[in-house]
This record gives sequence, C-alpha cells and structure tokens, in this order.
Amino acid sequence: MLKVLRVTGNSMSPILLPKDLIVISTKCKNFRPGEVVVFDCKILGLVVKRISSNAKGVVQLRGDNPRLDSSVCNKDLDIRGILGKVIGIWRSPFRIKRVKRKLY
Amino acid sequence: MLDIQSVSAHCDIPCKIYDPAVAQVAALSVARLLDLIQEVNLNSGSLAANAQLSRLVAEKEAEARIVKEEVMIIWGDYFKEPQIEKFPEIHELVHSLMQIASKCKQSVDPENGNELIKQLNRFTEIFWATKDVATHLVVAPYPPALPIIKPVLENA
Repeated sequence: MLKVLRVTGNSMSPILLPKDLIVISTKCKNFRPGEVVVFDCKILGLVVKRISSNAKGVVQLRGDNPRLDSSVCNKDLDIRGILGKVIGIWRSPFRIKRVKRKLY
Repeated sequence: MLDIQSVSAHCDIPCKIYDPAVAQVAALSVARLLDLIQEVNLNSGSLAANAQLSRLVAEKEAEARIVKEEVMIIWGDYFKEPQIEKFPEIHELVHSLMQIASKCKQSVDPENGNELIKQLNRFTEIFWATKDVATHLVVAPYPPALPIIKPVLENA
C-alpha cells in the first residue's frame, strides 16, 4: 500500500526538504541500512530518517544533514515502529501561496 | 479535499556544538574565586572588604552554576547509548560533579575547587574520547594555574 506524506524540518536535507511530498510503501517489511524510512515515534509522531544500522529487530536511525541531530537518532528502536519505506519524492517546481491581507 | 499527513525530518539538537571548555573556564573561575575569598581581610572591618567578599561569593555562585549547567547539557543532550556503553561511569561521575559543584557553592574551602577541576578533567577526557580526539594535560595559563585536560587539535 502506498501513502503520501508531507515533509517538515531540515534534518534530511538535501535529499528531503520541507514541503516535499514523499511516497512510502507500507508493504515493505525488509529494511536495510541506508534506506530512508518513516518511523512512528510515540512521542514525536511520524519521523523520516535514514537507517544507519539494522540487527535482530532493532534499528538505529540518522538524519542526512550533518548539522542537525535528533533525539530519535543513534539509539536502538524497535523495527516494528517503521511505518514504511520512502520510495519516491515529489518536489513541486511551483507552489501556490495565499496572499495575506496586510494593513499599513 | 486532499488531506496529506505531515512527517517530520525531526531535529531537536540544532547545533551539535558541545565542548566542556565553557565548564572548564567556569570551574577555574570557581577555584580562583575560592582563593581570592581566602585573601579578603575582614579584620579591617572596612565596608570595601565586605563589599568585595559579597562580590566574590556572588561570582563564585554564578560560576559554579555555569559548571553544573554546562555539564548537564553535555551529559543530557550529547551522551547517548553508544557513548554511555563505552563509558558507563559517566552517570556516577556527573552526579559526583553536581555534588562537588554544590559544595563549592556552599563552602569557601579551596580544596573543593581543586576537586571540581579534577572531576571535570575526567569528564572532559571522556567527552573527547567518545569523539576519538586525543587529549593532554596542560597547566591553565592563568591563575590558579591548575592542570586541565585539553583536546589535541593539531589540524584545527
């Protein structure tokens, strides 16, 4: 099954930027290091990161942006928390923006 | 209406810039202030001597608080499972550092300042070891000229 999600935050820059749309496959259950996945974190909600290690049902995640870090990274996480693997990205060349009323 | 759920490329540690150097400067300041407090001549009974003592004590409090804050930030934000597994003594060491920093606030015994530096040196040593950065012991180039651990940054 495919699911579309909108990215917020910069920790996966440059591969993923805020407002990018990503397509994830929730069917995939085999995850390898280096793959980008969406993890369902109880405290933070859905988080997109890259798998840095995977062994015996435990994964560790990391962001691509070396200047940023997250409390979900570099710690053992239950692989069952992975919602799906990112298989596609759509970055719009144009965005529709609402012009807000501004009083002078 | 199309409703697309958000997924966070989450980051809560924005700078990754951790360095025990700030705590070290504060700890050296505590040690120096403890020495200066010993030198205040209260026997003169002068207002200036009392004012100086008040100022030194207040500064000692502030610097000891900085030591505690800086160590807690590094311990709480930087140290994670891989670092803790490598140095399981870190929790006990940080707790001990909190205690000795409090002692520096509570008393005017210069020995507490020396102990604070000693424990902070071990903390600094561990911190740089987790980053595979070599360290060496150097004498601080300002009073109280106590030995402190510094990273060897040849290519910096």
